[in-house]
Amino acid sequence: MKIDRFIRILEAYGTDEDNWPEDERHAARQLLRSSDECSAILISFSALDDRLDEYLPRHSVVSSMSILESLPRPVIDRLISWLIPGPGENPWRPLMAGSLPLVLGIIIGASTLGELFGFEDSADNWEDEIYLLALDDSAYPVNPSNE
Amino acid sequence: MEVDEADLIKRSVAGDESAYRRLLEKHLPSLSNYVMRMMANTAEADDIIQETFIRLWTRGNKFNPETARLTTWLHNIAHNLCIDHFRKYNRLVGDSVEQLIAEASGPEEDLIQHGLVESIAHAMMSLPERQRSAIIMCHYQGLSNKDAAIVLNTSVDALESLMARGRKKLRKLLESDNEN
Repeated sequence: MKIDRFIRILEAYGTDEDNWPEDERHAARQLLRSSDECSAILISFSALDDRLDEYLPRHSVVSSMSILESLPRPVIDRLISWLIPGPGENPWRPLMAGSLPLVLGIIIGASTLGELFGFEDSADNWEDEIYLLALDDSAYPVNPSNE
Repeated sequence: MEVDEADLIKRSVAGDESAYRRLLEKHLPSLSNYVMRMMANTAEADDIIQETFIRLWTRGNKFNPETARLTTWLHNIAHNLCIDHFRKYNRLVGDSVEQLIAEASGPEEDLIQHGLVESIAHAMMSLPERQRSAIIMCHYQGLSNKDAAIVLNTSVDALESLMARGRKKLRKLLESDNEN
């Protein structure tokens, strides 16, 4: 490797040998070990790499879990994952799903029991009562002159 | 290991969430670092990270393991999303850098250290996006020059020119910052 190429590598990739092109790394290392001039050049480039190492990435709030939850899925999959959450998460969901047949059973049972045992709707009874009262003469004041 | 990853991608494309999760856990930290260094604004960076991995789920069938490594493909998606964002919003970088510095440093930090972080953050965000991306991929992300060239859709020679110009500009900016 010629010194011009060595300098070009430092200009582009910096002083960290691991970042140098893989196919030229060995030759560049050999040149560096054998040349004091190359060592001096490398030192002159090292200040920038030291500064670059100070540029740390900020923390992201994006986690594996948040990505998994936001994945577009078929409706049936979303329903199942909503009903059966992970351990310790929203335990009321499976309880609610489990109690749903019970609630439906009570509603259906209440409506069919009335029909079976002849219970009538109380609202209907009241309407009949008012209708019968309206037909009854005693419901009106008696006029003595007509008698 | 690469064969295993290719198998995981196949399974993930077929809808296997456990395979997808393994890919996600392997690549999320590295991709987050790349995007966080590319973008000045944390919330926007988070959106890009999320979108990159949603695309792995929805468009994983477009990945060809014979032409690139998965990390290269993911970096390419993230890079394009960053560039799209810059074009769309045409942001003034300076405003966002102030936010970046505020987020990167706590009030208890040493003032000298704060100054160093501020100057390198300013300098990095002052670079054109392609120069910044090239330096981030080769200096921090450990991508080879060939992989970084694929991400930027350019040749290795052009990549070297991008990095050399970027580093030269960084040196000038940091030197002038030191003089001030």
